[in-house]
This record gives sequence, C-alpha cells and structure tokens, in this order.
Amino acid sequence: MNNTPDINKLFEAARRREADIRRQQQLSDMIDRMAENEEPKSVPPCIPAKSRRRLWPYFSAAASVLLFSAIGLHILSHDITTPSRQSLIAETKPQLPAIVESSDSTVETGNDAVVPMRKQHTSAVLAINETTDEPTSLKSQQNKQEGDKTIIEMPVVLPDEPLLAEESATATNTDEDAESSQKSSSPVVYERTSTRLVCGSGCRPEVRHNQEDTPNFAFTNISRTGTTIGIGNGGF
Amino acid sequence: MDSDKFKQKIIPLQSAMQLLAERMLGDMADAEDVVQDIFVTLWNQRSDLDKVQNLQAYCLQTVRMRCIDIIRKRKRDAFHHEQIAYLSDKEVEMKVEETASRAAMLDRLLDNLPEKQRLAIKMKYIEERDTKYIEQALQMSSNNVYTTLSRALQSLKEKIKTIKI
Repeated sequence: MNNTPDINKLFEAARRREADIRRQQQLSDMIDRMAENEEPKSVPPCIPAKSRRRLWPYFSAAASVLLFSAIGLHILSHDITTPSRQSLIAETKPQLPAIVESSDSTVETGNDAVVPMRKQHTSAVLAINETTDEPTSLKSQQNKQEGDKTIIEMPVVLPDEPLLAEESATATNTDEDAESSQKSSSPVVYERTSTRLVCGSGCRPEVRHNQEDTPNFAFTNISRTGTTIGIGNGGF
Repeated sequence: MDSDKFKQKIIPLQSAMQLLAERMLGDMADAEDVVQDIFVTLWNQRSDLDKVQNLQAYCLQTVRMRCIDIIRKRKRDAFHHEQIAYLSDKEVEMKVEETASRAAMLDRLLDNLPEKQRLAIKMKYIEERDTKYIEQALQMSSNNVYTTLSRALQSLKEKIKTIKI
C-alpha cells in the first residue's frame, strides 16, 4: 500500500519540533536560574578586614564593659529584689515554740506541789503517749516517791505539727504567776479524755482535758527530744 | 542530579510530555503550563530522580496524573476523560517518533528547494510569520512573497508524491 504523506502534517510536525526546541531552551534557562538561586552566595562582611583589625581593641573594651555591667546588674538585682533562700525559708517556716533545754524532766505532783517553772521555759506540751487505763501501766514507769509527793514520768510523743503561737504564749509562765496562769490559761488542748494518771498515794485522778471544770495543770520541763514529761501541779 | 545531568536526561523528555499533555488537555497553552510546572517539580525533587529506573515513564505518568487533575477540575465529560487518560507510554513514544520523522522528512524536502523558497516556507508555515515579516526579512515585495511561496509549495507536493512510506 502506497501512502504519501500529507504536506500539512509535515508542516505540523516541523512546527512541533521547533516549538519543542524553543520550550526546551526555555526550560533549560529556567533550570539554570533555579540552580543559580539555590547556590549559597557569599555575603561580604559589613566591615572590611583592615578596619576590623583597627577597631578590634575598641570592640574588646566595649565587650568587657558590657560583660561587667551585666554581672554587676545581676548581682544588684539579686540582692535588692530577690530574697535569699534562707530568708524565704525563714518567712515560710512556721514558728515552733522554743525548745526546752532543761535537764529536769520531771514535775512534782501532789496536793501542795509546787511546779517548778523557769522563765526561760516555754511550754511545749504536745501529746501524751497512749497509756492504758490500768494503774499498773503507770507503775511500770519510773515513778518516784519523795515524801508526800509523787513524781510520775511517762513517755511522750512529739507531734508533727507545732503548737499554735497562742498556745505557746499562754503556756509561758514564770515562778511568780505560775498558779494564776494555771487557772486562767489552758496550756494544751487535747482531744483525749481517757488518760488517767495515778499518783503514788493511792488517788486515782482522771485527767480530762478540754473541760473547763477540770483543773488545769501546766506542763513544763519538757524535753522535745526526751522521752518523759512531768505532769501536774497538784490539781488532781 | 545536578543541572547538567538534569538537562541531559530530563529536558529531552519535554517533547513527549508536551505531546501527551496536549492530547489529554486539548489545549497547547495549558499543556505548556502543565509541562513547565512538572519541570519545576522535577527540579525540586532532583535528588530523588537518581533512584528512578525509567525516567521517561516516570515523567509521562506525572504528566498524566497532573492532566487528570486538571480535567477533573474542568469537569469534562467522562468519555473524553477516559479516551485521553489511557494513552499509553508506547503510544506517546510512537507519536513522538512519528513527529520527529515527519519533521526530518520535511527538512530533506526543503533542502532541495532554492534558498528563498526554503526560507519563505519555513517562515510562513513553520514559524507562522505574517507576510509583512517575510517581506522585510527577504526584502521582497508582497507579490514576490506570494509567488515564491506558491512555487515552493508546488515543488514540495511534487516531491512528496515520489516518497513512499
């Protein structure tokens, strides 16, 4: 089969080829431009090298001044505006009652017992250890009999929370106003009502705290690190 | 892949890409835009092109997918979409080869023509210049240009008849 090509198709093919050549050239130029744009360009320095060498001492001096100024400002601002860690702790730490540093760990009890209280002593009665109701439990403690006075020693457990300032203040007594303060102020507030203390003379007083009709008794000579407290002023 | 390698391997594929895009979109300007956009994309992904086994198939498939997106945007009818979308890589390659052979045949025919006739034919039918441009380029009058073109076409048609495909 003989087939002669159409002249128009030949022209069309030639046009297409020319157009393709032109487009390829344009694409090649576009690729060149994109490749140029992606190449990192070296940025000339703002200050020539010769001037940099000349200005170096000034830069060094200015940097030193700025550095020391920053350090000084930091120190000043730290001292003036920001409290130290110790001061923050002291402000936030609750004020505990003064620790009684008495070697005397007992209190005399009895009808006419005199509670030895010292000015420097601050009441810090915190809690009484769990004791049984049986007198024998107290007898096991180191009770001392001195004439008509009974000395009871019993262990204490220091509480986790400190006393209130009011309580510690009312518990501070002197030798002169010991008896008056015993009646006017309640040194300690307890929730316990079942604690019983037994004196050596056979009496069986019941210690009931938080009750107004119950004679108050002051606690003193308490060692926060010790294991015993003295109880009572003869008010049983 | 650097720019030289890109030009060497990817740029020659433009003909096939353009042909496929024209066939699918039916518009030369849209096809040019699509091909140019694809070349920009390929340039940005040139680091991954080294892993491609068949660059021509990869580029043609990219053109195909891009044209399908455009066709969907145009909301053309499904028949036209189906007709154009399934132009295979082989068909595209054959069309490109056919175009190249025809262009080469025309070159051979034109080589046998006198210089003024050849230049007039090229400017009129290939470069699609107007008559005034040809007049200024060949420094001929308009009548002479028409006469030259007429004689050149007649000569070409006679020579084409002798060619058997």
